[in-house]
Amino acid sequence: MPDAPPDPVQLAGLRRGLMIGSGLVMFAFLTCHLTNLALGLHSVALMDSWRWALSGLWTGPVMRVVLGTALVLHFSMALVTIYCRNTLRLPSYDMAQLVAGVLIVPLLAPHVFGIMAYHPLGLVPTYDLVLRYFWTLSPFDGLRQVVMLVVAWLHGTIGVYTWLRSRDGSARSLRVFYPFVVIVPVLALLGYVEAGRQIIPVAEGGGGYVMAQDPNAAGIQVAPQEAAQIVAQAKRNGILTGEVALVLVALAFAARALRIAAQKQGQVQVTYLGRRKASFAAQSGLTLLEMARLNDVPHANVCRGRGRCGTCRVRVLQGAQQLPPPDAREQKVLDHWNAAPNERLACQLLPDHGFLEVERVVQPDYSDLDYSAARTKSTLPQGNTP
Amino acid sequence: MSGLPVVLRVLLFGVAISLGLLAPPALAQMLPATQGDAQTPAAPAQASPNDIRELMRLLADPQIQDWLQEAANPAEGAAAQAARTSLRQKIEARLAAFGDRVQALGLAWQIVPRIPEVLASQWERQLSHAQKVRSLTYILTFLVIGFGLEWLYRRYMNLVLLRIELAPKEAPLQKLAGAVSRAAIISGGLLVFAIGSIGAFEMFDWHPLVQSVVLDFLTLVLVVRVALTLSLFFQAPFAPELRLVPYGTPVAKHLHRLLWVLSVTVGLAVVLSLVLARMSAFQDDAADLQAVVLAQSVALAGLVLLAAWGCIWVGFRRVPRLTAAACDPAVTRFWRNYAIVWVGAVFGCWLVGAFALMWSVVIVGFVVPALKLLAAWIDHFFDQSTAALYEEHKTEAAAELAAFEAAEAARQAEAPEAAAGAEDATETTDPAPPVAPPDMPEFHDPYISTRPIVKRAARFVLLIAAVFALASAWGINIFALSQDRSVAGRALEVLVDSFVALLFADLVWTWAKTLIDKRIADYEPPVDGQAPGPEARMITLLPLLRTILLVTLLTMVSLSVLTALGVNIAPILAGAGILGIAIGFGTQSLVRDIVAGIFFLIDDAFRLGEYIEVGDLVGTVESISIRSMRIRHHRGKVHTVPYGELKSLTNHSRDWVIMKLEFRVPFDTDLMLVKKLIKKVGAELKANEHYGPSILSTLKSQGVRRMEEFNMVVGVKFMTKPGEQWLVRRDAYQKVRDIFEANGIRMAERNVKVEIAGGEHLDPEAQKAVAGAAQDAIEKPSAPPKPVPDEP
Repeated sequence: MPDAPPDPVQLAGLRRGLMIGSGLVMFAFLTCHLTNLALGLHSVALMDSWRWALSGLWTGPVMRVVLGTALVLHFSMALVTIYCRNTLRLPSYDMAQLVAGVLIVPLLAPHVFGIMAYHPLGLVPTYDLVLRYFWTLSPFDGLRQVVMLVVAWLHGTIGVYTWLRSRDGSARSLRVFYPFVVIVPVLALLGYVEAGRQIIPVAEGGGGYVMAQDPNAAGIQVAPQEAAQIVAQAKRNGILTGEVALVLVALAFAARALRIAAQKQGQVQVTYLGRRKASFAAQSGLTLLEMARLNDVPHANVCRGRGRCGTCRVRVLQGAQQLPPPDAREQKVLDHWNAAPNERLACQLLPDHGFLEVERVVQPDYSDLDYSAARTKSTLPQGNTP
Repeated sequence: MSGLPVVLRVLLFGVAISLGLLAPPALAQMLPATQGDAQTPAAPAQASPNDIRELMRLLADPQIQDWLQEAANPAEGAAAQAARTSLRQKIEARLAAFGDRVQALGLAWQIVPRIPEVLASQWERQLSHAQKVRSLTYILTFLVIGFGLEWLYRRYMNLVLLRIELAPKEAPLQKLAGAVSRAAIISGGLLVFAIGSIGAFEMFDWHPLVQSVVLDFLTLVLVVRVALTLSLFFQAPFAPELRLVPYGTPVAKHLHRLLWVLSVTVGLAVVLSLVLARMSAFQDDAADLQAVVLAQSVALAGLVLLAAWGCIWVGFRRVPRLTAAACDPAVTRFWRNYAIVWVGAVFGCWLVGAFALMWSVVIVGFVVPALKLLAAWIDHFFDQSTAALYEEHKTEAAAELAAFEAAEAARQAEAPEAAAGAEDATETTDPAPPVAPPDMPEFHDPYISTRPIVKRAARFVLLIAAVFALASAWGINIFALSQDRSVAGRALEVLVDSFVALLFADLVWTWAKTLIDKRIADYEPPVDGQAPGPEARMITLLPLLRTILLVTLLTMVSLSVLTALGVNIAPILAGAGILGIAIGFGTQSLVRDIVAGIFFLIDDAFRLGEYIEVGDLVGTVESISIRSMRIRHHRGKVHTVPYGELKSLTNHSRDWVIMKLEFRVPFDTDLMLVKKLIKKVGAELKANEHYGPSILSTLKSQGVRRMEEFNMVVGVKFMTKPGEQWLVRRDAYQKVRDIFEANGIRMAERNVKVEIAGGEHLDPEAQKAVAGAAQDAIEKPSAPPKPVPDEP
């Protein structure tokens, strides 16, 4: 990317690797956590009896650090990604991912700090206790929790989905992944609602679920004043973290705006040959794929411009001399597809002026996408999986 | 609500009166009971003679009789009463309603600023904080379920949808098929969403108020999505290949966005205005809420009005800039102002509470531009179809031309080789003459007759739908109109009936007229001297058919209008029937002529310009009328023949004519030479530039046909198109004679050799006398039959 200092290519590669890695870690945690919630469909007791495995492991000393690191890394990488965005007119999935990602930290922070406050209070965050808090004591927090669940799941699945489908031969894994994406949050929400049904009547004075051996039976272990202080501190921290995150995101957007403003403006005349001919003029500073998208020119792109899938390849027929040569990552993808020397990835091409005449290698309806052309390492059956 | 008791009371009253006729004491008992206000008088123990006399006198009174009669027929009486409500009273009622509405509006206006407060307090009264938030959790859950299932469905359909959207479409029918299948897939997603979310909705136990409100919102989501799916179907903002409307992606996207805003605004306004109404259903002091409900809906309607005006303004401003096509600013301004005034008028009607009028304004205001848009859209559709077919036609023509050129080039390349190989051959070696390029048929628009019919049919459907919508807006059931005896109902019924009949007739007439006119327009009259084509027959029939159809349609429409007006048309029909029979008997032969003529025409026995033979008459068919035809003899006489008189008919102008000629040559003629010469003449005739193409089989010798006393008869024949044989015969005679003479072949003449036995001594005088005496002997055998002089 333009102004990352010493070796931009390697840095960008590293950034993507970190992004995917940290994202996957958090997605795994989220899945476990939601699975735990889904157990509420059976009973709150079941939720609590599995809590040690599905949630407790992640809050252990090691995993807590891993998770926190992943969160911080992912967030900072996301800031860089925002900074590097050429345009904000994103495809719907990217837009949803961006909005959900911005919302996650402000929504999540109160929950995290809230749970962390249980320990100093001498309480164990059992589902019985937490759900009672969410359903009866502070239903607004409960609602925020539900919104957070949906938003986080949306963000996570879009990321994993994009990562999955830009891999070769992902047909089979996606076939499993699609139902998984829908079933997990639905079951989690239903579990949450069902657990609420078991808990609410107790709080309202009726009969219902009462924990057999409640570790919190003794109540808060510290003096009431101190407890109030702890709770207030947790609340403050939560809100503060959310605000800091929002400010950082805003700063990233502002920096991006400055970067775009500093760019020199040029006009590029692009012509697509072959089937579905098109011709348009576009502002420079965008990748060829983004130009095509803004001008409603259909273009194959499985990974939506992340330079991973190689389906947006184009043959550059004219104007190749003014283009920078492919960097190492692009070259890797091109080599993977055994691409001809004049083929480039449209999502990595940044034409800045003059004329460009290109031809699509893969049709936008993927009718001629052939995975056997790639040097695939996958042993999965190959097929069209856009 | 109050109608039933009134009727019941009148009914009871009537029953009481009729009973009273039989048992007067009961009258006194029941009347107060039914009216329920007077105290019950003591029944007289017995009717005195005086009372009976009095009753008799009363019964004899015509006024009383009328009253009794009316009362005995209570339902009718009530109806008459209702009908008798004067116009003035009705207007008064209307004005009173209007006044109430204005007062309510004034009250509402004062309440408007307090709406949020009232709403909040109502919510507080209905639901606890926890309940509200819990409900939101439920809503979120079932929305996640609905959208999740739809997303799953869309994932599996994604590739299919993508292929449909991106596959290039040439013809509009392909586009339509693509758009329909795409709409089906999208609607499938909508259905999955509906099933998923409604199913989940049913799972939770809702507070009844929340349930009704949430259901409203769910309906709103579904309705808005259906509207957007419709927009996607027609405009396809994201799939230009499937777009059914004639504008580009930017306009489609813009209009889609506007529609989104508008439908969401309207839907939200409707649902929000329902929220308070729903609340008041759970309230004891519902009456107090009425003013707030009104105030809220007025405020929301105002917002909708502003949104609609905004959308209209923005749309009419932006769209001309986004399209490449030039828009007349005056026209744009006119339609913009029209839309603004229309929406304003709808709002005004709603505000004053004239709901039926509001719907009428909505429908009428919608129908006018909709008719124009529909016509333009159908035109666009057909234009596209024709353009696609024309493209196809052009590519075919180009392919054929290319194939021809390739063949030509190959031939040219071959010719010199052949010439080189056949140097010593006796055949001429000059290159083959150039062949004319293949004639491509001219392009014909196949939709030229379909287009107006489809346009009319679409207009018809739209208008009928508008009529039904109008009727339902005014609360009139069109099918039950015949029961309604009021003046307005009758007038409306007549109008609707006549309108529908006219529309039907118009549809049929347009269809028939387009077809007939097209056939007539396509007819090319035969070039002089050529036999007319098969279309000539239809040309005589079609105008007749058209007139018959027009008369029939007009009669049917006027009869149905008359029926609608209540005129009894049975006598007219019967009269027409009787008249028809009478005329039928009287004009039996006329009818026979006409019917026979139609069948002759259908049989294609003769056409205009053909040379025919009917009985003793021959001539060219000059005109064909309904009853008779006119034949002109080649010497100018004109025969008029009624079709009924035709038993059989000989047509000399069909397909081909064979003509046989004979030449008499002496016995010593070289027949081979004759054959050769005739062949040569035949070739010459065929090569003639005027009639050569009409010769189907040129002159050829048939050899000796028979031997006669003094000569041989050589037969020749040729075949031409009808009408050309005379010219060919003339030239054939002339050329044969010339060529025979040039080759020393004499035509046989009659010569008599008179041999006088031993007459060498006779002097010339005597020889002459003897030869003269033999004259009789020669004359005796009659000449062979001559060919009929039949040239016209």
